[in-house]
Amino acid sequence: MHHANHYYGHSHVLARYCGLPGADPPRIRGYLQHGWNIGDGLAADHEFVDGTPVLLWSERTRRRAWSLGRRETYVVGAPWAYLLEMQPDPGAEREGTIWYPFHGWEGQHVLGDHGRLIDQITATEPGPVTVCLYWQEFRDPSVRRRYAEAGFRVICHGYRGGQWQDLDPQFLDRQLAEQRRHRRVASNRLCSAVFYGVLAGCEPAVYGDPMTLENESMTYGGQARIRRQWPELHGEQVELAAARATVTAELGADRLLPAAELRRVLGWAAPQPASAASPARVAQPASVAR
Amino acid sequence: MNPRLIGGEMLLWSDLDGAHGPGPVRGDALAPLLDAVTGRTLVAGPHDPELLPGDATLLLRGLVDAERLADRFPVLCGSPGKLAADPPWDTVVALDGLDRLGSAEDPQLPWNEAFEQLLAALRPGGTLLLGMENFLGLHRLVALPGAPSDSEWTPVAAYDETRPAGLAAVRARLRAAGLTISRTYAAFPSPVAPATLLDAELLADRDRRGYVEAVLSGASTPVDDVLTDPRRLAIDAVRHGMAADLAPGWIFVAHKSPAPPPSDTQPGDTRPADTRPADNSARDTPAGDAPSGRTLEDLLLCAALERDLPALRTLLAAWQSSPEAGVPAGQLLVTPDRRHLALTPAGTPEAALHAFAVAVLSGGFAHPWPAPAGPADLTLTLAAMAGAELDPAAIPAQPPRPSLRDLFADRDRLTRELAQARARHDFYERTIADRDLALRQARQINALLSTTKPARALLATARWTVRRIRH
Repeated sequence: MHHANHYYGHSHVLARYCGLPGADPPRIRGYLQHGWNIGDGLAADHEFVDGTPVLLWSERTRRRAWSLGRRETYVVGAPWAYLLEMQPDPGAEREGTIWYPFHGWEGQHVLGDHGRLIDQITATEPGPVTVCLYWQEFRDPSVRRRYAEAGFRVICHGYRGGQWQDLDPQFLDRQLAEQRRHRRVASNRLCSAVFYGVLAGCEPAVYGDPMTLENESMTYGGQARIRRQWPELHGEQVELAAARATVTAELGADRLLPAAELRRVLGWAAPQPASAASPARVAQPASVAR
Repeated sequence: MNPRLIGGEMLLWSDLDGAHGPGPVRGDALAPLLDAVTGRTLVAGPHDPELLPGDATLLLRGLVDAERLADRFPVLCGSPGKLAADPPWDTVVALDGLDRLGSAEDPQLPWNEAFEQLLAALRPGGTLLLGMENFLGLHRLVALPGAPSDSEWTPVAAYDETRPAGLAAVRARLRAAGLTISRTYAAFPSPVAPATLLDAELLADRDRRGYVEAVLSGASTPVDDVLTDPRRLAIDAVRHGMAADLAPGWIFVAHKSPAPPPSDTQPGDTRPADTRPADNSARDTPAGDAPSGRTLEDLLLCAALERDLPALRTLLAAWQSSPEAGVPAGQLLVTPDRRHLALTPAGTPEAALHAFAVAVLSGGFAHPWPAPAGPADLTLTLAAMAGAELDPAAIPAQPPRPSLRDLFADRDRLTRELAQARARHDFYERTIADRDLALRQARQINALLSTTKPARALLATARWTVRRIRH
């Protein structure tokens, strides 16, 4: 339905889970939530056609969406949770922190003091630090250099894609491989990457200047509300059990659909018999870290 | 002489043919009550003769009926006011109540007087089986307006001030007349043709709510057009502890004083076999051996409305992987120890899932499924939630839905869906326009590149540059 369904290879992951070819997922009948969200699950700048199913990550988001007038909603959970379901943690040794500086998205800019943030990361993190930049910042050599000179390893998970261009079906696989190398996941804002990291087995931390996003909407309360609502995920050290419980709920990892149901909800036909065997448990090739 | 004309008889009249009113009181559910009748028995009013004990004497007002049955029963034809000439009876059966006893030849008696008249025909210690329509019963709550029948020549019953209104008032009136009530049965779905009789105490037993809901919804399938589906109303009445008060009719088993205390061995102490206590346990209630638990439909709806999709999947999967996969969820009990107990034989799993889909969509529930195209579509989703793929061709056609409420709901749904379909149509139009533009541009570029060498070289350079920037 909407091109955002293909962001970060989300539709590709779901196609694999459903036993369909992951390289070319069919159109999804509905809007798939594509990032952790404190509103109704939909991106504010995306066109919404009334009556189209809204496929959300969590029960909390569904309740909020309902209160905001959305009716045709269904909680499917985050594609990330399906990816982890397909790729159990091999239990490799972990080290250091993967740190996600808050970023803007396509066409947005973040205003803040990167130098001060780097100092804080250095002072806080006990082990080696990998900084993961959004592709916009990663392609700016000066930003990359700044983090690299602080002694951090600098990576990028790939492109989000948009309008069927630069789609990156392996985005989440790379992110998962990277996160599973690290003991901690951190950011200066609570964001999808932190949630993903916790589900991938990292200890979370959210600290430092959250910075300012150009033209940031305060409709749903912004950073102040996020800190009020999810205090258990904020701080340099957090209580792990509480954090994991929250993350499981926010990503809907406790309520994933069986493949047959997911296909029905997405409007996808059943796979051909040759590829239909136990789709939800098919082992995927190991993801490649960049 | 049989039939014996006692006065007040109606020469050109039949209650039993059903042409002038609702026909006789009938239905297999009444058989256990009538089978247990003992002693010299008078059956007053129109009853299905197939249910009656062969030695009973009938009181009928229509000569046509009296003559028709005279070769099978002793028949008195006429008004109950003329009964006084006969010795009182051991048992009086009036399951149709008092409204169709009187003749058109006489003024309509107030309920109170008709009751006293009937009671006078019962000997002390005798047993009365009295039926009573509930004018606030579910059958009336869901009924569309109808025309009065030939038998309602004085249609005052609902406004008869002497007629006790409501279950408590009727019981009080019987007791005030010196009767001891040993059993009260609620009759569903109609007082004239009940499909089931349930003891009022069973209706109030919270532990056996599932059984009661299953029996009542199974017995309440509407046969005529109705305002709303009586099955849902019956289930809601059970949930609110109002099922006895909202029953379409009641049947009282009462004993005239002086009478020995009622017990299982007393004549006239009748109860349907399916509610008889199974053993001599201390809890000797009329609930008998009715199983405890909740219906699977109740549990599924609860999980759906609670939006507990994992619980819903677990319930659906357990159901559809069990031997009871073909038993409709409304007729399947889940016992406290999570066992399935089927109350009806199994059909196909497709039909059972479809029946639940129909219940969800026509019940007006704010269900969790986004924009299902209809019960068949939802049936496939329900199966998928249980991890199964169904053959759409195996799903039965939707049964007709006679409820007026459904018609309004369908109208509103179709209006909404049309608006949504138009919005999607506009969206697709815009999408096509965008893609037409993108396609035209791509083709123009292709045409340009396929014709000139410099352009091909330029494009190669541009691609190389983009790759460098990105990586």
